[in-house]
Amino acid sequence: MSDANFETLHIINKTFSNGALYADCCKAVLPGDAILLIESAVYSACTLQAAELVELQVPLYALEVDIQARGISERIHSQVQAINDDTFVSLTCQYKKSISWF
Amino acid sequence: MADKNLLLIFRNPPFADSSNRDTLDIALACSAFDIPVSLIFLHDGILQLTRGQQSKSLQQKNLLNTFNALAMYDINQLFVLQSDLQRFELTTADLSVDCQAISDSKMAQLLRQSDRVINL
Repeated sequence: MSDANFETLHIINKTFSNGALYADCCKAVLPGDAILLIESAVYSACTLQAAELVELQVPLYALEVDIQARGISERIHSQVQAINDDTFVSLTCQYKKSISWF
Repeated sequence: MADKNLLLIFRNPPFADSSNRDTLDIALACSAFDIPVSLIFLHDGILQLTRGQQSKSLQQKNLLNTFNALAMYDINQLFVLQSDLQRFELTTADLSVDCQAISDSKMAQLLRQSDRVINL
């Protein structure tokens, strides 16, 4: 756990249509945090939907396996970094805690 | 029952839960009993139809294959909303299945005209 240099990893798994969930998460994000989009939330990594998240100016990650399954690799916002499962695990170690917004 | 038409609503994205599969099962079962079935995809439901989905890595069945086979079951009435296409920056060409893009008000009429509507 001594490797945890960053603050909170916010993990979202629902689409942008869940407005209240995104509003709550965005309110909770502080500098030093990061957002990870998994499962249905990878649609929020698409250009149009990601704009609001980009404004938070924290690292944005999205799970590659979920992006590929949904066939949206070419629509991902340039500020979103696609990561594999191993990096997912690393991130959970690098951040002091994870908060799941499910 | 066969003289009543049925409208099924898809509102969820692919791979999220079993609702899309369950609704699709209802469509196939009803069509087998000669019940006229129409499908409408609302909001995230439209994401179920986009091309290029590869579900193998998720170890889930890809429903797109079944959606593509609906014509064999005489299910040809598939609707999406123009407003939802815009929301996700899609056109009907991005969808794997032939759909009619309709306005929100036409959707309201469609629901009004349907004898039975199922929304899981």
